[in-house]
Amino acid sequence: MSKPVDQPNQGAVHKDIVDFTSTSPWSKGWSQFSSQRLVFISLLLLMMIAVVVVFGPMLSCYDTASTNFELILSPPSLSNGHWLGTDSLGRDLYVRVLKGGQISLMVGLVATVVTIGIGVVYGTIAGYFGGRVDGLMMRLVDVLYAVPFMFFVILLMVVFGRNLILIFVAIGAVNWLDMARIVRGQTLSIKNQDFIAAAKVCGLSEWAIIRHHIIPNLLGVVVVYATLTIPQVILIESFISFLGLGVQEPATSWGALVNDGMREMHRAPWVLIVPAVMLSITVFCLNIIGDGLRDLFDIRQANV
Amino acid sequence: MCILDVEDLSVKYATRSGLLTAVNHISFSLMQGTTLGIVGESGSGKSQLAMALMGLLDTSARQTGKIIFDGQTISDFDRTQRRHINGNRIAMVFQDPMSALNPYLSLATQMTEVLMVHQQMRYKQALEQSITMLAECGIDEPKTRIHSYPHEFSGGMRQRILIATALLCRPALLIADEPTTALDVSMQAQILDLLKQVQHQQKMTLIVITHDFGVVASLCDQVMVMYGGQVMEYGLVAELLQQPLHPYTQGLLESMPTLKKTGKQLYSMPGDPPDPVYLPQGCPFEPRCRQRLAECKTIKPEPVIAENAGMVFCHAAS
Amino acid sequence: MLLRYAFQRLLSAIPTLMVMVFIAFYLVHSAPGGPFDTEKVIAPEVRANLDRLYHLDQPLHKQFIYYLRSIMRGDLGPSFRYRDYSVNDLIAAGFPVSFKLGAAAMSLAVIIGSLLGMFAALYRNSVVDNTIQLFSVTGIAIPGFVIAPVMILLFSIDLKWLPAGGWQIGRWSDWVLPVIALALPQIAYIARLMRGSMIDVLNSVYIRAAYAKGLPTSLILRRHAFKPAFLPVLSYLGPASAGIITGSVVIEQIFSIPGIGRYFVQGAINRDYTLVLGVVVVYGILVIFANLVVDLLYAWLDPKVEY
Repeated sequence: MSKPVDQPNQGAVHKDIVDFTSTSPWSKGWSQFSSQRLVFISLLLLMMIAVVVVFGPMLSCYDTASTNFELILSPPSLSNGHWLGTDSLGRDLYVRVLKGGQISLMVGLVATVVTIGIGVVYGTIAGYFGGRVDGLMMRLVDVLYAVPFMFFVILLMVVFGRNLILIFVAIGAVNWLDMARIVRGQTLSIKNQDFIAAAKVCGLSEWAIIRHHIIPNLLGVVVVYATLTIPQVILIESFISFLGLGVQEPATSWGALVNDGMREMHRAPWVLIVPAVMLSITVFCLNIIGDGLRDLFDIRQANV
Repeated sequence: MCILDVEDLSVKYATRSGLLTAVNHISFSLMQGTTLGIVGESGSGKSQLAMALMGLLDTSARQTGKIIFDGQTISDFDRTQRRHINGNRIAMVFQDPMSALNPYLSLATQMTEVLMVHQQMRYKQALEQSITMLAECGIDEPKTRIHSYPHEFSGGMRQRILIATALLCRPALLIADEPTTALDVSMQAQILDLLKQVQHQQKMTLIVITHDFGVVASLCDQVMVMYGGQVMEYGLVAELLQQPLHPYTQGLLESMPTLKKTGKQLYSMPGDPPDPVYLPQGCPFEPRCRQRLAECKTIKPEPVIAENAGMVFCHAAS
Repeated sequence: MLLRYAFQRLLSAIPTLMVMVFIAFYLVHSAPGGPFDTEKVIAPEVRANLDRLYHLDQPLHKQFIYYLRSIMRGDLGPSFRYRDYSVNDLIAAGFPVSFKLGAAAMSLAVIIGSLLGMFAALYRNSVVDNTIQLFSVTGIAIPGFVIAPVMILLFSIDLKWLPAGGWQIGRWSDWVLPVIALALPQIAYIARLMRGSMIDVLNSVYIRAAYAKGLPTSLILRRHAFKPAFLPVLSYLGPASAGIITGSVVIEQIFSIPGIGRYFVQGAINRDYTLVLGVVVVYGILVIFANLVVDLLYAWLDPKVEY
């Protein structure tokens, strides 16, 4: 353990020194990125999870739905082919966890796309047109921010029935606020740069400017926040499914599996542990990668 | 009487690309009540020198050499001992008045705490003294304004407040790091006047760090020109500005626009400052020097005492 | 001054609340199935009577006006499912429990989170820092509904130290696991936030200037560094309260705690319109109120905020 920092530390090393050590923001960012071994481990782990989740179920002779009452809550075993054991209905946990993972990951991706779609369009319009339009649009975002949105996802699920497509839409529909805010901030700052003025002087139309100048410059921020949105979305879905309001049987997801596992944990802890670990590792890796990307692009949380 | 004696001071940092030398074997001494200007481009190590004098170097810095202040070797002091010197006997005015005041604390808090810590004053007494000091430094209505927060003042006012805070304990030595760089021209003159005035009144020793020979000319008795962490030239302001001996000083002065030079092309120094990780073996200025000799590349120049009692580190000048 | 600002903020919260009630109301009422659909056989006359009783025979906008009016009176209407109770009764029964749970978790999160973040920043890049950082990235990744059952497995089933659920008056051991499970993700987040802002503050020129003034380190940390470092944490407490409320829904479920979160889930599963609406309204008011308190605290602490 080192001593407490008694004096201002590194970051503030004098401008005299910083002048010399800083090279291009990219090369600096990249070395930071690669030095973070954790990011690479996460990336590797995540890819492994994705591969296993997608192709893993093909290796087993069981499926998600078929029950076997002879083998209820059997512990993980190689001999009977239930590599991760079975649940309270004798269903194969290995296949269920991976199939559940497919749903969780898919919800993560699709709902993120919905989030990005709404957020980018909304944020770009507000940021680009500015003034009254911006004021009004952002006021609405502020109002919606104060709303406990998880309950609205649940309401949507309750009202429109519990199907997968609705989950995508419901999560995307309430989760776009952050993205809109960030995109708007970025658009505003790009808009005020000289090359936009130059494009206007050259007679480009508004839409051409948005398409050719604004959107390409938003890409970095959007990619970073999309990466950070995926784990959030996965958590929201698993939360809802945990409450029994999300994915319905025979389909399943990690949240639903954790709930199943919790009921049986005193008899068969693996039924809880396996999906819990899978969910946690996936979210962990995604967070680490998102943070790494954010550092790489050197984006600070846009506080408006 | 000699108030500050710096002997062979070096500051180095370990970086990923190698050992970075910010301050390279610097020695000088200062008599009480005099004013020294330290001039250099950014990256010359002048701010690092100031930080070393304050004992505020980053924890990763390696400092060698001696700093003797008022007969005490303060470079050997531990943190607690240093603490009793800082803000009390040696004070500092920072470059950017916008960020050197804590935006969340009132002036009253930020000023009285100095007196309460160093002179064990009660709050009331400290407040009175702070108000007096603010008035001396040209803040109107100090009695009410002392309870305001930094954001309620303009940049020039804040620099006055910083100076007032630094002067609270009547320090023997004041270090001002680019005290006017962040201000408008009209403000600069006022702040320089203020510094000159308080320095005169309190018989204080003043070190001004700057890149601006104008500041040096209006404020200082002596000047030290730094380049690549080393001293290039050291001397009395009047003489050095009239007759610079080092090619670097000459170049700096020639590149300054003045009325006399109207119509003539200004000198522009070729090349860039050296990389502090790969300092040349000889004179750091050699690659850009107009008068370089063969030995400049390999042999470090020894100080040469000039006729005007200044000191110059240059083979060509000897 | 601050009081006037508070009043202004309170007024500006009303449209937010209206929007929320509006969305929730229309969402719930655009449901394809009604609350009485699950009843096996209902005579048409009975059905008509029920509809009339609950204004279900009126056009939607009229129902909305009825609903708004009754909310203004503080009446959230009868529960469709628990026939003998009004929504007010149910919420009144559950609220104190939920509130205590949430408040305890929030206090724990703020205190422990800020302390951890501060230590991590002060002992930067040390073992302490790395441990705290690892804890916080892990804590952010693991949701409460995973931590809670794992904790039950460990501390209740295996070690038998603490009860696995229930909420009896005066039994303090009931509090331990739910409060920790609810607070953990927030602790992790706050620790991370605090670490980052503390490092920024410690690197700032005014802290360097404070050292140049020769102040003792403890005074610098306490007086000069803590407040600016804490402000970002403070402004996070609005969203944090929403997070805790959301989290309490599953935590109450897992630990069988009789709070409003459980009514919400029950109501959602049973399509108990008024109950679900009522809970959303109450939660919304709580979140808006929490944001308001945070804003006021911020304005009070930060001299740069004008009001």
